[in-house]
Amino acid sequence: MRQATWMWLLALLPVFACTGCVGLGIAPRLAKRSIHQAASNMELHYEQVLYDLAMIADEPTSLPVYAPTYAGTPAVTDNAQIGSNTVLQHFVPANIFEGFAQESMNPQLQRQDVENWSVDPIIVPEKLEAIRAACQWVIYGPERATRDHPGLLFNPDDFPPEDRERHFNVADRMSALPQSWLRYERRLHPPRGAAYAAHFGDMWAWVTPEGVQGLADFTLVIQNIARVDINSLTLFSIGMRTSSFSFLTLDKEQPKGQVEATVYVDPLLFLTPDNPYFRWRIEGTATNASLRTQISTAGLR
Amino acid sequence: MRRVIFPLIAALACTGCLSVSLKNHTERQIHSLAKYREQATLECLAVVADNPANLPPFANLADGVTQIQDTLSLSATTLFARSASAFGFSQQAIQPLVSRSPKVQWNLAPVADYTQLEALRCACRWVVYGPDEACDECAGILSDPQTDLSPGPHFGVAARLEKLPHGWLHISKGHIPPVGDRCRAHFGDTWVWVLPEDMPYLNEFMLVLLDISTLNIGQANQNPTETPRVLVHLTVTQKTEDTPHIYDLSPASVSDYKLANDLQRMVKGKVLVFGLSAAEIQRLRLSLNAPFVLSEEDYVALVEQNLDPKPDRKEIARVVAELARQPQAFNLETYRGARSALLQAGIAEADVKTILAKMEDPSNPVRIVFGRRAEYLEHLKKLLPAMAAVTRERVADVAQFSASLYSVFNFSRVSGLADAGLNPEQIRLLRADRNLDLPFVGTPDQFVNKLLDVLGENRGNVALVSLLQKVAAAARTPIVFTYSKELSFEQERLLRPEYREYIRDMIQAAVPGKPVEISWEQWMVMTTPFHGARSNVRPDGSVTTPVTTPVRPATLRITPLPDLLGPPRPRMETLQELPGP
Repeated sequence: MRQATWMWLLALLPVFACTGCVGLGIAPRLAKRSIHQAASNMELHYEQVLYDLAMIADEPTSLPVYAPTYAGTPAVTDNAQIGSNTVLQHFVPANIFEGFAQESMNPQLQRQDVENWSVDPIIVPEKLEAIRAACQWVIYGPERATRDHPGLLFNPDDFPPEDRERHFNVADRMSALPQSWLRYERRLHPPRGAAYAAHFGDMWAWVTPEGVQGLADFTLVIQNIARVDINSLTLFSIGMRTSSFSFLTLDKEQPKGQVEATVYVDPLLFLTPDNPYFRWRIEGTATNASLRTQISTAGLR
Repeated sequence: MRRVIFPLIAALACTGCLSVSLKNHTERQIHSLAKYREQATLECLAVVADNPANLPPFANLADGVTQIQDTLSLSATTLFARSASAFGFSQQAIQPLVSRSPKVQWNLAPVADYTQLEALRCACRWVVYGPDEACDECAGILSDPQTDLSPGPHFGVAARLEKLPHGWLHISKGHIPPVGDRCRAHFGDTWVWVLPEDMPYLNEFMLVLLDISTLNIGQANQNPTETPRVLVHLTVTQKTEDTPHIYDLSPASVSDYKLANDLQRMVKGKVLVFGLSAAEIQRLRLSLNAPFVLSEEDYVALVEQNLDPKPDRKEIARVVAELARQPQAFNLETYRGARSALLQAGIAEADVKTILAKMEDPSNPVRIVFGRRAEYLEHLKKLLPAMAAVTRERVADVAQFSASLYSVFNFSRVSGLADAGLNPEQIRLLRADRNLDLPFVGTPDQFVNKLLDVLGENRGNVALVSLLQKVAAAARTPIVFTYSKELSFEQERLLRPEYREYIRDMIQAAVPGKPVEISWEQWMVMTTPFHGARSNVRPDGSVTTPVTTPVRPATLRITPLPDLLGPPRPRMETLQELPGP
């Protein structure tokens, strides 16, 4: 009898486990999952940055990898069902087993937790070079960082209007980073006492709790580079605009009436293109990130 | 029992690490970017190394999704059975199920634009076969568009490629390279590989491929692979009179009566009525008795040849030509002295009354008709069905007028009569007259006379006439034909680079106040047609509207300093009036 009671209790356990009365309701569960997922985003940024720093510490010319998270979808799905199976039997000729044979009950409970992140990797070369230069600044110092691309991290207003390169204007922030916040070395095992750590091969990069301030500030720099629209005019040196210039010309030989020509000129009256040259790039060719995560959560792709 | 419960508890506890697992998988997926880029670059090089004609298969990673799905499932089966001796609980089964399904995915954005594919191939050839073998028929495709003025696309990566030393990429046919799994790829039996010490060059070459593949071609207003263009906007303005018109001086279009008695022209601000001689009319009928499609000048010259030799025959010929020009203009209102004109035309008094009553009936919406004489006669036939045909012909003669002599006056749209100098009583009289609510067609003097009639004054009141002339000027709108007096043809053309300096010199050498000495034919030589930016098919299926007018930068508008600063503060006269700290 005692064993039968335990059996009943076991059968009812899943029923209670997934009800709101024990604090495992679907809505509180979703809230909890959302908080956990959102909290992991910060660590994801930190560890991406540390991974890039380890990569540059291993080989300064490496191309970093960085993929900002654009959208995430936590979802919780509960499913409860109960089935019953009754067996009645009839024998010819009749015997003592005639009639009811057995009854079975099949309760079933299911919970699905789904979480996802949608990431858009950085693919434009200027951003990759800028992230590499920022990492080089931290590991090897500003001189090494500005050797290959002198103006990449500096203010675009400091360059002449003829300059058509992109300038990410993060040098001031880089200069303001605390000293010695990052540690890196080749080692076989993870460092002890590290708040955050990442490795590329046997090269480890980590920060202690005191260095988190520097890591956070540097993450802001990398996010600044990664999330700015690559075609934003804030990255370019903006010079004096061109002016339209109209003048009349006439055909003496075969009069066609009055011909007015309009061209664009610079202040010295040199004919110039009406729009200055920019290397417009494609970025974020992907579909809408929020929609993408929802489709993925629904299992449609 | 504990064996059953513990797995359940463990399964429940494991669900808490879902976010950590997601983070770890996301990190690993992002780290795989480096491997993908490296392999994709080597694959492109291997493909081109195998055959220089091959197109490299390069694709960027557009986006990715990392997803973790945890499933906890508990199912139980309770069985009640009947045996030979008893009926009751038989067995209890529990099936716990815990599963975790990580899913990672990338979406690819393969390079599809033909110029980008060509540039990728040239860049790979540069590395595999050297700079001299990089391009066959696409010279300059890798050069800087800001300096290379040759036609065709320029991707501006030559400077990056020139930094790469020779020999950093190793190629072999048939045997597997001596390096490990890393940094090697093959296409068929052609292997390419990079030694660890040459990895910086592979990284730089990756940037070259990314540079080419991320340029916004076919969707931006300006194609970044094209040399910056200098455009010229040409506007050719031609007077409408220069274009051919239809002139018809047959009797069905302009009657003998009209030519002999009712031609009008403006002389010193007055409308002068005159007529041609019978001989002139006969000559015109003989030589111009059919529709002609000619410019105004040519037709006036034809008419002039058939007129008697008089000093003003050109002006007379122009009046005749205007009457013959299609569409013709017809109007019949009392302002023109229609009553006397109709009587002079030989129409009976009773018919004149009927005609004027119909013409001035406010319910008749058609007051001015532009069209052929036959159409106006049809209109009169509906308006005056009982009238004899010959009478309607004569009415049409009186109604036909030269449009260039007359204007439309809309008194109801004039405001500020008091400011013009009219007194309140005069304004009240003018505003109260219902006839002035309708548009008035005539000369300014005729409109002033109409206003004087309403006010009960005459032209002797010079001061009032002067005021009313101002009112007439405000109410006047020239009669607008269905076509413009001027035609303006515009086109954008691309200036050839070699002529920029020449045009600048011509502009600076121009005599002030005179046109620049550049002929139309020279413009055509110095420029080529501008086709706008080439647009590619968009992956989202949206349609790009083709435009041949470039999107020009908006004019910079600077707010004046006083507007930014606001009104000036009152001047402080003494130290005591200054605000305290």
